[in-house]
Amino acid sequence: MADDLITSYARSLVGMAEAEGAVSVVEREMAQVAAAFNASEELRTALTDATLPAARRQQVAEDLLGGQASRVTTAFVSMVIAAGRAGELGAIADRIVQMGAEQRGHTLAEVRTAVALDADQQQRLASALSKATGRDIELKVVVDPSVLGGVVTQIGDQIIDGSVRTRLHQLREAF
Amino acid sequence: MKPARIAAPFICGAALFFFLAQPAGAAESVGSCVVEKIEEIGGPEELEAIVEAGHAEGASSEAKEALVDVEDKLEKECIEAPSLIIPEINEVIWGGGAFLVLLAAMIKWGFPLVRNTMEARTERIRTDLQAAQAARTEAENTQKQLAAELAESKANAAKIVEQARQEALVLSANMQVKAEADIAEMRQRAAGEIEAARTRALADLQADVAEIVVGAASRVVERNLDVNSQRQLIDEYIASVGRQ
Repeated sequence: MADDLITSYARSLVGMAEAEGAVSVVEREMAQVAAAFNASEELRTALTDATLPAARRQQVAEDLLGGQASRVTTAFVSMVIAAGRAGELGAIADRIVQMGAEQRGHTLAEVRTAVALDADQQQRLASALSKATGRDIELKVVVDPSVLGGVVTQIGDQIIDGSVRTRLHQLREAF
Repeated sequence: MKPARIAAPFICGAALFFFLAQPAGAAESVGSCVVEKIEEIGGPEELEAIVEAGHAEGASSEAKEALVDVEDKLEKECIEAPSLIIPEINEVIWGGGAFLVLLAAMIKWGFPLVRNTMEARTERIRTDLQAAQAARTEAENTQKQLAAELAESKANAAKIVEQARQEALVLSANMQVKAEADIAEMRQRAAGEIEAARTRALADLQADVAEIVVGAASRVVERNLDVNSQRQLIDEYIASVGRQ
């Protein structure tokens, strides 16, 4: 049920973006919104706090996105908050990115690193993953400090783990 | 037999004795006898005359004989005591009659009664003797039976004791075997528990050591992972993925 709800929200935003001719922009912005939403506990609390009026929470989101995101993205985020679905913003953004990649015939790979990848690293990593999987890979980069170092890539059910966190974990298991 | 019929002859005999008996001859006093004899002689004056005539000097032989007759008469009939052995005739008559009556009564009622009583007593004694004999025989039989039962009981008791002793020995042996098995099992279990505890302690120790070591390593890695190190790690990852 929740999955259907997330997919419906994602489709509506993709429809709005297509109407505005800004699908790629909206995808990128939503990915950034999701990253910021997942990374900041304070932001999540502010946007999902039911004790605050919806208008106040919408104002917070619009203040954050105003001037930095497109009108479509800002309006959609505001609408999701007004609907009381701010908690699903990250999942909706992920679904939008996935749907966009599928529309382009690409396979989405979620890449987690401790620090942000630059464009060159993203391009080389996408090429390496495409070569390894035989599919056109599109990256969704998530900065996750718990990785400590290295990269963790998830393509569907397949995980390619080269993180320092996992190596330390393996070291702990080896004792 | 009723007690009244038993007492009847004795009561009749007693009545005859008290109502028909007369005083014995010795009951007549000497004085009255002398008076009577004096009256028979002719009175005191006649007696005095005979005495004076008989004692007078130159008394005739007739007077002396008369005096001797009077003296003999008084002496023999009044002064001389009756025989100590031969009873008076009237006593013999009355006593004999009473004896005959009593004898007849005894023959009629007493002797049969005594005979019946004796026979009954004899029969009772015989019955009692037979009963005593039977009781004795029964007692002897009972004693023999009791002795046999006692012997059997002793034998059974000895058998039971022996059986109990054997069972106790078997039970003791079984308990010893079971105790040894239990001890062996407990010892094995204790050894297993000790080994498990040792393994657990070792695992905990290893986990603690691993946690300490990995924690220290993590802190060292985190401190040493600067931007260049992160880039190098990412490049190595891209290269390794590209080789797959």
